[in-house]
Amino acid sequence: MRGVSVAVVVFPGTNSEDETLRALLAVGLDGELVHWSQPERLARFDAFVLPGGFAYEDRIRAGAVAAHDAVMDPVIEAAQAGKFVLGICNGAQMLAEAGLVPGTGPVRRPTAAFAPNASGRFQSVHVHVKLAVAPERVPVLAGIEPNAVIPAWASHGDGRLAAPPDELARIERDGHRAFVYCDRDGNEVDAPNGSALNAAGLVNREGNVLAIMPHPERDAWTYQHLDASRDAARGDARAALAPSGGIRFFEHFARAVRREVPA
Amino acid sequence: MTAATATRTFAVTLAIPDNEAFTALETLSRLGIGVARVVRADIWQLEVDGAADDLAKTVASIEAIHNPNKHRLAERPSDRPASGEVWIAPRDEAPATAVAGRTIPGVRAIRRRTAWRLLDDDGRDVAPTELDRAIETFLCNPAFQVAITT
Amino acid sequence: MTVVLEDALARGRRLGLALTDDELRRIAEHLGRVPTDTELFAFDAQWSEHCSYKSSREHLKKLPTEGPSVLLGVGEDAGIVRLGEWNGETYGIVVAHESHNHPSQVVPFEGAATGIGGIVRDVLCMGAEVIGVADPLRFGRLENEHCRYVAQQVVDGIAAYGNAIGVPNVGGDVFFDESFDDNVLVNVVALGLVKEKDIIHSRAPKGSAGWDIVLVGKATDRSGFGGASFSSLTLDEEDAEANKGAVQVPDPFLKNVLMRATYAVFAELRAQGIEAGFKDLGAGGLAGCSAELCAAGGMGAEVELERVSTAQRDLPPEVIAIGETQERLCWIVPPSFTPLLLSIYNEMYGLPRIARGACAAVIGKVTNSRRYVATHRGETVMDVDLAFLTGGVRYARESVTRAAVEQSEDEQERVVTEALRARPSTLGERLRAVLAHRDVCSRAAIYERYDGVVRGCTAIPPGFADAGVLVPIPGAPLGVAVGIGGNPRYGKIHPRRAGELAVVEAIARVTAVGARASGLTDCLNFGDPTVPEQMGEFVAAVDGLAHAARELGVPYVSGNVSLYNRSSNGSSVAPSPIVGCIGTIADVSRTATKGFKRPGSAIVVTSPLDLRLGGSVIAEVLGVRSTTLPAANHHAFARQCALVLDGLENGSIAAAHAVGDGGTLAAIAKMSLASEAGIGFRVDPRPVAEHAGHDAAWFAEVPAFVVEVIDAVAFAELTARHRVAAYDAGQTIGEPVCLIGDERVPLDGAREAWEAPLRGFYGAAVAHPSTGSG
Repeated sequence: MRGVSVAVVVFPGTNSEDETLRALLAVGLDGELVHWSQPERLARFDAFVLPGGFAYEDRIRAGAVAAHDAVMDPVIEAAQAGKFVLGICNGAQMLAEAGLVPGTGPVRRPTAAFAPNASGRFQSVHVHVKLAVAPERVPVLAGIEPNAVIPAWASHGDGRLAAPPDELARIERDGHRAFVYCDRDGNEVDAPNGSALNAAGLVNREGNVLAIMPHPERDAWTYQHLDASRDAARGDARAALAPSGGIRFFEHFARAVRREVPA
Repeated sequence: MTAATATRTFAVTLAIPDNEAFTALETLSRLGIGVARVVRADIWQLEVDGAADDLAKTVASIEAIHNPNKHRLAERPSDRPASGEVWIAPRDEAPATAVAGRTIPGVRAIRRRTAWRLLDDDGRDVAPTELDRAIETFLCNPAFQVAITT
Repeated sequence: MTVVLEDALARGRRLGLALTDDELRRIAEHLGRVPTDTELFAFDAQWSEHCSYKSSREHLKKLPTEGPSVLLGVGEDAGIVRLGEWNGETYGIVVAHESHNHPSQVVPFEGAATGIGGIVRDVLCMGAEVIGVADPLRFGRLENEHCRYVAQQVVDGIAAYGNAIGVPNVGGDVFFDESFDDNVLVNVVALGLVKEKDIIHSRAPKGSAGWDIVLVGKATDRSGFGGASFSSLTLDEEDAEANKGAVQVPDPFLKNVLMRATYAVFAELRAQGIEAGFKDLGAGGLAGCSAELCAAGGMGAEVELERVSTAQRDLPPEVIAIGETQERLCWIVPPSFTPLLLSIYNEMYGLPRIARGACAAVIGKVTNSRRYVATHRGETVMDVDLAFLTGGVRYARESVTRAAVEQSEDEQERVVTEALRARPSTLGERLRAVLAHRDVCSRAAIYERYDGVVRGCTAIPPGFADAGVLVPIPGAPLGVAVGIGGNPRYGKIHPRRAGELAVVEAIARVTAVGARASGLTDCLNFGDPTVPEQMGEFVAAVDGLAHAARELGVPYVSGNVSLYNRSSNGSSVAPSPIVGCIGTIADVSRTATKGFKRPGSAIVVTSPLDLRLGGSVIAEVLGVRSTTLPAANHHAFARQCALVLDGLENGSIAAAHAVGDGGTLAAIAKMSLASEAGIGFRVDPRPVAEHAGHDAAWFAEVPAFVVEVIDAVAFAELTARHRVAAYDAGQTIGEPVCLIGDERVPLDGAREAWEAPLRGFYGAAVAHPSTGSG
């Protein structure tokens, strides 16, 4: 029997496809890169990941052109059919532009955006993000524990959640704000990009589509950690090369995709 | 604060092929909007105190605004969009006081917009309803942007 | 013949070429006829300093280039260092180094961006996956408005390009000096990963007569026409305006796709076992690139210029042949492979839909003739002997070594001591002043604009150690580190020793993370070679680079020379030999970041106390003009490196940091500032003060390391074995504070002093065309 399979959708300008696929394979998923010129291949996949980068060079707005690309049609259909869809960084921007997160309006009519950072600049800093909703709210991350803290890199120029006040109130009230920025101990901190509600990620109403700005796949192996856990592996190559930290995010996604819903 | 405040508007267009306009055209066509050509410009609006005599010259010398190797710069007579044009601006805008670290003498605030103009096969502006549709479906994300038309 | 010569000279002048009358005469005599315009432009580019190293080549021979760590030495677009074995394959790290100084002065955003774009192609064309870049930058004074503008735009250009193509920026350095006010230095190092058996060479393969020459990438346009000779000319105000047309327009979006398509081509070539020739288009454009490819393989070329995809109609043949439009590459492949090559670029990766006119197209054939023949619409516009065209010219430039204005070191120390007495202060206050100095303060506000972690292979991103570390083969413990050395304060005082110290610093940086120095790459930024004093600085620095590398046993694998870096008044930039060191790591788990790890560790300095302060930051902080630069003891330094590597290997050292600008106390403070655990330190200043007679010795910039020792017994054995006279400087403490004798400097206060200068400048929000997301 074929294992469940995840498509990592590559747009022209995507730059994080390899490490994203590597993280998915590390958690036991069967994954493949699917090129923008092959939308017909997408139908057979069980789940979809939109990786980071600069699809279409962020022309018009980050994520906007990709959101209207033909290769997004099957992804949107799958999301509406309840399949799991993850967008990381540029992928998160695409999901917002496609109206899939927070998902409070019609498709491709965005109600929120990951807008230019408050600084007006690209910034790459190490961060932690914390689950800001009840685990039941995010079936896309099956089995994630309450208040889970994930290390990641916020490497983006457009990661500031922006929406009109009533929409922001709805995002908070209805549990669309999936992740907030925090310190390593889980204390909420000011978002490095000026994001509204300190939001680092958004989830749709059904909890099957998740957009996250920071990259957990860039702090997904012990040798990449910047804290004491890295030093604990000193002199032990196997431990240093082991998946840990940000990989937990993908482990929960894998459990969701495999439908290992906890009892 | 006694000096009169005025807004000076500059439009910068690309002298080399405009890939962004080309991409916008492709996406708008896919959305079924009858457009044959898209023209894009960067609009720089400078709020100046009194008469900033050399402003046009200064603006032309700031390469973050105008690189003569690839841009054309023109001052606009009006601080509003031309007929048939839409300007996309950030909704909650904090105007800047410098461009790429450079302040401009006499300029107290700098705002940047993107101007779009949609033309049909005959080089005429598309119907206002088509422009509105393009704004609603693609050119403006109302969550954080506003569309300014005449 | 006289008529021919006169005609050639007149044409050369009319076209505004950089070729000298003598060079024009040689060309006309060789051809025996009046050269065509296309030929003149081709010679102008190929015989430029940039392409031919005509002033520098004689001296570059002194640099050591051989060693067991070299997989491919100097000679092609990039060199290759041995990384190690994994799964039965030998892997190499491709290393290229370039400058984009003059373009970055004229149009800093585009200039710096195309600098990244060009170096990435140099690595790509060796058959490698591009895994990282590092930027050594030299800016003018930030007090100057235009310098501020250039310093902002260069960083934005590097960020916009590197981030978009998805290559992490893992290192580099920045200095500010008034000698760069009119002439910034923007150097860039790029690294690639390749299996030894998969290396592609920049030459037409043996027996390739009849093979296709395929041009790939952006449509050729007028941008970048005349770039090679432009980058070798002195800038003055009028030239700067006139030269804007020579600056290329970067397209990182196209490059992103071009790189990925090229990786797909590599895979096909390997699967089919085809040896191809591949080279990027840089200085000298299409003719320069295809000529060098064919010359290197002992072949010839016939090129039909009208087959080149152009952005404008009716481009003249010399623009098609010589223009330096960005984002282009040239393949030489057997005709049987051509259809697949074209379909990968044009169909699978759809280049024509990515940028208008972008494509892969056959533009000519390889011949046996050893001549370069280019036609345009049936007319022959170029027909020259390839060896003559690409061989270039050589000049033995007169050089004068600067008269010794050096004071004795005793005299230098006397002046410093007087200044110390004249400006009494506590050590803590001096430390703050040193941390806030422009050459010492935090660079975070710059490197945070670069994506240092894209590709997901970064083990140590910028700022966490002296060198960035990558783990380029997923699943393998092999690591590669890149460290940069070079200091304009030193270059101005003593070019030869500055050359030596650049090598020492680069090696120290990779050593401090636990990597073995395996290869060097140099970029030599100097003034006007026709001015004997400025040529003398170049010669002296090369002597220093050669001497230190020989003494330390690390070969050069690639390099670049940039001359005519000077201001409009004719003075040279600070002589700037800039060195990158590639370190290799067998087991990445042995690497360490520079931050202190735990309280109660011994803080040890791996050298005897050194009191020489010439060239130091503290001398400048005290207002003392330095006239000496301490000589380095390479043998002692080599033993220190061995000690640090062994200490990281056996776990007796938890953190290491090379002493650099600001000296020992600044180095210790930076290890606290980098500590994730908020570890402070305690030092007892009395022994140093008693020994030296003054406390400035804490700021002496000598080749040494500060290490955090967590196993004193094991470390003592190592110091004995390596005969290193280390001294204990203090201990780490579990409180975020610097305890200097009785003085207490909170770490937050030190951090504020250290971060504020560049955070204030680079951290400010500005209105700027979008630099993209991620």
